[in-house]
Amino acid sequence: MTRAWPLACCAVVVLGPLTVAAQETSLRADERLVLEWHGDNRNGQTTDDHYGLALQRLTLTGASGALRTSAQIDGELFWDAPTADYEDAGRLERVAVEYDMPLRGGDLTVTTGDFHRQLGRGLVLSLRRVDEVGQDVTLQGGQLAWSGDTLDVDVFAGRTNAAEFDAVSQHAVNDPHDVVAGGAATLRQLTPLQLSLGVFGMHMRPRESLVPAYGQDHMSALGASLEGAAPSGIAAFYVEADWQGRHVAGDGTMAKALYGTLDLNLGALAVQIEGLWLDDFFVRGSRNSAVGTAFDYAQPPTLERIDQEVIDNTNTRGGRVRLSYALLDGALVPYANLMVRENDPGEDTQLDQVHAYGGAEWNYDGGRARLNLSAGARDEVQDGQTFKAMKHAEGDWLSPIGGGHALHISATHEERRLESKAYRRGSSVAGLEKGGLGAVSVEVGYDTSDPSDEVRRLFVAGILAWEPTDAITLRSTVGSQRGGLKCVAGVCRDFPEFSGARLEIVGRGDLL
Amino acid sequence: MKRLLPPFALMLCAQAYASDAPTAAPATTSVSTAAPATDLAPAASRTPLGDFSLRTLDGKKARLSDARGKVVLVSFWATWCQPCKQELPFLDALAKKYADKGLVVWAINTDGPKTLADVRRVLSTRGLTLPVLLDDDGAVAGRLNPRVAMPLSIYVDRAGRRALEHEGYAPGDEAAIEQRLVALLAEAAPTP
Repeated sequence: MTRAWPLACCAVVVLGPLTVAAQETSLRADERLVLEWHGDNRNGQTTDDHYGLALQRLTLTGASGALRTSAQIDGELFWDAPTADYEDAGRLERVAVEYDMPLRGGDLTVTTGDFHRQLGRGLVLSLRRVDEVGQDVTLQGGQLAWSGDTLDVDVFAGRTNAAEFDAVSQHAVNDPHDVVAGGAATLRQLTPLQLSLGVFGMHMRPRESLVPAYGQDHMSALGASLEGAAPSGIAAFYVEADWQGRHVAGDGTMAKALYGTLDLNLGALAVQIEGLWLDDFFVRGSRNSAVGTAFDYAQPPTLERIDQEVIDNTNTRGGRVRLSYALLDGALVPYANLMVRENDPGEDTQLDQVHAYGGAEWNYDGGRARLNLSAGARDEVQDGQTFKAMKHAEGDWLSPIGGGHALHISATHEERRLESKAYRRGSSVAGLEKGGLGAVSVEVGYDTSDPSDEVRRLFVAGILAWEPTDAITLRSTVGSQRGGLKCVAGVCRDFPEFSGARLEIVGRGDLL
Repeated sequence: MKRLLPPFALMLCAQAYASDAPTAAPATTSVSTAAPATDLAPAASRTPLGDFSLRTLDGKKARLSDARGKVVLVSFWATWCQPCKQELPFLDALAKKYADKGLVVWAINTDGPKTLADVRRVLSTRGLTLPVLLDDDGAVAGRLNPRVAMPLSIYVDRAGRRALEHEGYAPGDEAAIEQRLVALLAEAAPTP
């Protein structure tokens, strides 16, 4: 990443003088410091116990007139690391310079350094800003984007730059540096249905070819989308079709994808329909050194709820329907959802997935209190046999109790079966919150998937959050927390069990 | 790396000082004596937010610099964020109540491809009409909300400067939110 410095410096030198007038200038810092001590998490492994970690991320953002800059500095420091896989490091992770200028009735934005880019609904390319749970990947290069009232056009090129610390495994990630170039054009607000027509494409050359002796791997993809909404708001739709050509280890493969959504707003009743067809469609780059699998640069919709894992989303077809009914002026919304998917349709490995769930979201007491309840069942069947099954229930209740305090209780419970093994998993959090001050909570989790004595099945943790000012937040956790799949901010990762103490300090404010 | 930690600790202290100082100072620059006391930064110490441009759900272009002269409340949200969905109806009501006073509320949606299809449903079932801006790739969140905290509200004054940033939503926050907006709306528009 250190080679980004010359790039950024050149951009500043070239673009800086364009800021001809004296402008108000800002420089803002956002710092997150995490101090952790890991005890014995009793997960049957000894390679992730008894060590300390200091993890920090400093983000600086500046603005002066039409010029915007940003930088991200990350670092990790371990104490008593159990293996050499836990490495001390500090680096300049991200640098970006953006400049806006008027051009032909629109705005031209020039970006150099690190930037995120997604095409369509993420089937062809999805390099999005994600939090520390996800693997944040940017393109390090340049982008030219022109935006008018009804037309957007952009071209971009760069190499992929991954955040070099995987917060889940706590191991280092080597930069993939796969080369990606592409562009998009979208024409908007075409009458009579406010139609938007988009076309986009990308080309990728991974740094690591699967079999170097067969030459350089590469792939190209093209997509088109059409989106529209009736002015009355009664209906809206989005459809996207994508084509892909992959050249891997000397073999060429063509792949296709189709995705669509339809929203019907029929008074109190809202109908949502979503369909997905992926025919061997994926965008993978070089190997992620922390997890051992290839970087996935696409993130197609899965049809599943965000807290549900999807084993494979490359060769699948399916759909879902959701009915929602608004009561009490939208304060109470009961709903039902049915999802059906086929993975590897027509293959020996075909897996049929069905997930049905329903529930209600209720805001009451003038919107200050909420109660959300849901429950459902999910089955995955292979060769006529249930491969995986789950029944689940969730609840989330927040209610003011006077004096600015609120009681917050949330719980999840899953009855799971994987082939012949049945187990239970869940967690509950009960907390007392005070707006503008913080919260004190107790979390109890359980996981009976491993019956052996040396593995922990019950987890208890205390959590204290304190907001001394709007600019500083502290959050401490002491105890043990269950591992397994957790979805945070839209990203699902398999977390290891945690046992120990953690202190997170967040501070932000203007430096200039 | 070991040499990096002390500067970061100093940085935290500096931020605490920098953020405390405006809060503690009296709001002497407010032009209206009727404006309620709030935790907004004094006008003299505010800095520009930096321009950004996004498309609304119905395809219109929304650019912060085009809203100069208005008070803008920028709120980051997602369909899977329960506090966000609890806060949105309140923000929607504020947007309507103070529209003619010069308030604009922009709800910047940060849903990824897995949940983006849910945005219209969440709005329609709750009868929400406030402008929703789509930050598909998180480019604006990356600058203004680098930890992707949600909900996160940024109060922008009529001159395009950040007056306050507040993370989270808890019952009882409604009065403070409205007070801040009333105070910002009472300030004079910048001279062209």
